[in-house]
Amino acid sequence: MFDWQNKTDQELVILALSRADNFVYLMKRYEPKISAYIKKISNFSKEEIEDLLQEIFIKVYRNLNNYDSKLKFSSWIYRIAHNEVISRFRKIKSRPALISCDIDDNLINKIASNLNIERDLDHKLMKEKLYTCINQLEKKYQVILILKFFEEKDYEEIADILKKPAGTIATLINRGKKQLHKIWQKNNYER
Amino acid sequence: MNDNISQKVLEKIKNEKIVPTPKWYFLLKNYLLWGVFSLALIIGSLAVSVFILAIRNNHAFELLILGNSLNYKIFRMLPYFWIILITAFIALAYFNLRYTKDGYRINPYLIIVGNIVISIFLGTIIYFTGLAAKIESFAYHKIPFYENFYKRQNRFWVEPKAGYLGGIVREIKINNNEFKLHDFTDQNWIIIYNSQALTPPKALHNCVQKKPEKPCLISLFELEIGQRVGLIGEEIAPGKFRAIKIRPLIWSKKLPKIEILR
Repeated sequence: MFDWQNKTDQELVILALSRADNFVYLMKRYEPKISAYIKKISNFSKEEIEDLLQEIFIKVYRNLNNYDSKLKFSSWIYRIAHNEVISRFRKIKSRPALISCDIDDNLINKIASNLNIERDLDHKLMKEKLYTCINQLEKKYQVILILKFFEEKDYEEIADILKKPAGTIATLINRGKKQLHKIWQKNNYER
Repeated sequence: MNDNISQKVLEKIKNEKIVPTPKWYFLLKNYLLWGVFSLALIIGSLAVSVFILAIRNNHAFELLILGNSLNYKIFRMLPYFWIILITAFIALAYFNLRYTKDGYRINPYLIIVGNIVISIFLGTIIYFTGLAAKIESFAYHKIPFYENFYKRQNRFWVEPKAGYLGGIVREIKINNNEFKLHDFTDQNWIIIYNSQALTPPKALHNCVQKKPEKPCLISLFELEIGQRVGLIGEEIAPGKFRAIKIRPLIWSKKLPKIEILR
């Protein structure tokens, strides 16, 4: 049995380029993460997400020779996924509200701490409040905060995904946090 | 994990015979972007050199000294064609750099400021090589709309009642100290002048003040047919103008120097 799980992304790329069937290993590795990310930044149905995933992986396969190993493969594939979602929004001419999805208590606490918001004892209520506030944010801050706090990407990775300078990402995150905090207060979520 | 998606993707790859785009395509695209960026930077620098030439040679400040409410006209005196060209090529350089593989990592303001600084630096060097005048002359004679643009731009020179006139030298009568001028509003004039009108007064004044043991060399401007000139003087009759100062608005040849004997 081929031990693909211990191969690096770069090794799997080389394998996929040598034989199309080997591309399945990259898809196995990234399908859950990309699927979860699309779910977080859109309100697409399961079928729409599957349809989009197929398009994303086809695009990834076509552009495999453009992958630069100086970049993290995850950043590169997230970038393609992000751009495909934005293209899909443009085609349907709307951007649906974000939906809540499963995030554990540790992550809730971490997010609350990072965003300087008071933690609610009720996990479910806390999650709903967070998503209500995130939905009220300007679009440019929504994705960045999701990448930072829900996908747990660092500044360099977010810069590579969104193709913006790292300094700009830092500024956008700070502004997004401030705006989220204001919305949180405005919604009277502070006790 | 959904195996169904992986299988569907692999089937599509096989059925539609999808292959990864070859590497040379991406390399070529990147080189092209860098190539266009470099070209835009060079052309922008050339435009800066001509901008410097135009500013230095339009002698606009001599007109300001004449007064006549010229203050509002100072903005008309700027060489807008070259300003637009510089802006367009800086923008082109910026957009090309941003789309290169690593261009997005650079702060956009840094790209723009860097572009401007490099264009000014290179443009200044190009100006001092004398290439700027050749570029401007080429543009004037070869780019169809540039001549009209230039004439419209320099119409601030055509105010004979206020004592200044600008246009193109058409015919020269050396013995009569007279030449025909086609001004920038397409009117024809007979210009009467003397040789002192061709001598830069400041150079002459500095020359007189220098110590006798040092040679006194100044550049003398010679009239040529097709030369664009600015004149300061007075209208003596309809269609006739006496020039006390004649300035080349753009010149491409090195001016000959003559020795002034004390």
